[in-house]
Amino acid sequence: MIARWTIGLIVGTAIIWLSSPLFVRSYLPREINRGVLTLPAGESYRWRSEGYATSAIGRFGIVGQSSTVEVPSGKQSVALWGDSQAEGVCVDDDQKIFELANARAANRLVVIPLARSGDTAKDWLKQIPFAEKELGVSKHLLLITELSDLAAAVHPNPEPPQLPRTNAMVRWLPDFAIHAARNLLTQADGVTPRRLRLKVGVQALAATPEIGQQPNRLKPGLRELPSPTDWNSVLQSIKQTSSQPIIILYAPQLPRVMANQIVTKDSDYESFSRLQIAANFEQIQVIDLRERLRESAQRNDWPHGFHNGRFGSGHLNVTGNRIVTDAICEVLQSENR
Amino acid sequence: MAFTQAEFLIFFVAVLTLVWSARTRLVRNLILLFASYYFYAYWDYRFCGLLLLSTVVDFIVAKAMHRSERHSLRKALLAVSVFVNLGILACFKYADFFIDSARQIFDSAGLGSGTLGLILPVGISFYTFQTLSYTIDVYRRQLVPTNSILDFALYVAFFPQLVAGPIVRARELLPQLATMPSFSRRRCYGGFQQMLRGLVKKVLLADRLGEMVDVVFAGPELYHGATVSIAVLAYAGQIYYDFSGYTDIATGVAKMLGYRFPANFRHPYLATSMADFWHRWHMTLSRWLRDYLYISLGGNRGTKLTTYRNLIITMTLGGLWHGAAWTFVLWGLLHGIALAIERAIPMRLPKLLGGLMVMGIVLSGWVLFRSKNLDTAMLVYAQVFTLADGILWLPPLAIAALGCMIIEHLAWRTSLRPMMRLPADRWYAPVAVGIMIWCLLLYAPQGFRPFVYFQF
Repeated sequence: MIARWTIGLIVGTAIIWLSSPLFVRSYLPREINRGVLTLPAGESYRWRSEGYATSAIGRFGIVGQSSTVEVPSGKQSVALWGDSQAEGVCVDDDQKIFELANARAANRLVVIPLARSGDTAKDWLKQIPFAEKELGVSKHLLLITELSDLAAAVHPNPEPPQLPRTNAMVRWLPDFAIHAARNLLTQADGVTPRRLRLKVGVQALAATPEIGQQPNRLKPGLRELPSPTDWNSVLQSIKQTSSQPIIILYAPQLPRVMANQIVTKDSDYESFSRLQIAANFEQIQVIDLRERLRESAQRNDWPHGFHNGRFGSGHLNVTGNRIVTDAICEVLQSENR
Repeated sequence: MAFTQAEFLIFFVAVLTLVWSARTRLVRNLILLFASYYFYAYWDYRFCGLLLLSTVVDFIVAKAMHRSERHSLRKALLAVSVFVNLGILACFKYADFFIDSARQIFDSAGLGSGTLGLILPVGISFYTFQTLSYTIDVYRRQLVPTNSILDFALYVAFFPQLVAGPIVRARELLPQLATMPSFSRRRCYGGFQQMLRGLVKKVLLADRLGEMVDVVFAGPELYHGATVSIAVLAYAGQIYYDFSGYTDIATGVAKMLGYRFPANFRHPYLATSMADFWHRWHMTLSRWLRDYLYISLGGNRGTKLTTYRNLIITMTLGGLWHGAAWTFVLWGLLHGIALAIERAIPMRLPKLLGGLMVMGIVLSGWVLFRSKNLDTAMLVYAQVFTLADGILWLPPLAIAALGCMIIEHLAWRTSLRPMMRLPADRWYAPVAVGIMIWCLLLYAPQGFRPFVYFQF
């Protein structure tokens, strides 16, 4: 009996081990590349909470196996910075923004994807010198989906990153075990440690909260935009780091489906207007993609969300990526004329 | 503390260890009573007083009723029990509903009034029905009251069935509590695998379906008719897996502790008539409603018309039991009318056609049951029947969970049925158990979702 159960449980675990790569791949940075923590080259990770998509990791921990970092002469090298929206975690490599842009403008430029999930301007500033020196980047595209990401540039963090000991220790563990451990040990956001409450309580939750009251699972630590943001200082901080031209692409999560409403108004409208004025003063080009995103949703072609998640919420999908790519190609084309 | 929380696992392992190491029945029942009150206090300790009040009143009333030979006194004592139990229920569950309904009338007349803003104590509808069944059974002389307040208090507060049933009658549980169960490895495994199946139903299927249902029912007018139709089907799946999952866990937990609970579900979507549906869905509630409400109203002893009336009243009140809202009243009314029509016009339909008709009525009812108000329900019906345009959203995981439900229902009718119970002596049982545990760890939707029936 004991032998049968031991063998049976091992067989059950083996079945999960073999089938889990289809559904789950753990994203646990294990190397320091270009001044930040990344997965090692040659690995891949799989996003499952929205679109099922596999992202390969290339040289320097750059996303996309086919992404080239050796730019042929005569071609311009452009770095794409941003968070998970710019990285394109929910779509396969050939549908990511950099690949779409490279396919469209292959004869003129190479877009290098340096965006990383969870990154803010603080992280970009740390990598810009490396990108310019080692990758020959001559232009920077900052894809901003939340203004708070850009505002973080005002306090750059020059500290070198430390690889958490646990990340190195679990190197030998299969991805499904890491994922299970993470689910077990952390709260819904996958970051905050789980705390057990064994005390008696008062008015515990009996019903599922309304959809509008549920936490944003994609961005658990959604940062508040400091108000009012000194955009001049932010942009000066960026310009001090790079002498190359910088273009800001503003593509917030719009329109959003919130319960029974479609929200088309940008809650950061005022701050963005001030950013535009500051950018104009600092001679930084700003491309506003809000109207294109709204028009696309109006045609019932939603730029955010997936069948596996929900529409009008979450990350940019292929439609959204195409809208961003169109804008990138237009702006780079007009500059080259 | 919900069955799906890590805290419950710790609590249950501790209780299981203590209970099976107890040498006497008294110690065992004391441990279980303390654990049950702790379990309830974990939600909100302030409501333990209500549980205690209900327990003390019904214990004393039942004893006095049993001793008395005077019919009028017995009736008066029963009235006390009904008044106290239904009074608590009416106060905490329905006061705001009636005040709010009255306010809508008064507002139109230019008068205003507030609500009491009372919090609904978890599980109040369930333990109220359990204690009522005890006093009614004693009144009808179908049950001899227990002499042990400890056993009775444990019957009322027994944690596996305290917050969402199954509604276990005193005559089913009290005799079990009055004896010392012996440990059986086979029964313990049976409880464990039932508990595991319940967790899979709740966490992997119901919660996954719930993710879609919550979004669509929050704004049905935004979604395509096809999406809304799938969401209605998804809700049928969600509520079934949520509640039957809860029941499986509760029954499994009780089994591991050495007690048996009655069945609560028997693949309800295989029903071929509405009566058949209520013999398969929330069986302990339909049994309660039949024995204590329908029969008390006269059942089918009167004319045909009074039988239909009794059916409609019983089901409408059954709807109101679920929640203090007009949508629940209409849901009950719909089922009552359907049962009455079925009885009035007996039809010999092919099973498949009968099943489809039942599904049509049940799904229409679920729309009312899930919608937060009548306006939302009407929007859902409109989107479905006009196949209106909107966001066409087809979540693959929800559709896969629906597929699981269909396969599970169909497999239950085949020779695969015994396999689904995962007998311990079969080679596939440990493999399936291993896969189920890993799936729970890996593929559970993020975030805690309480059981649907907790809010009732």
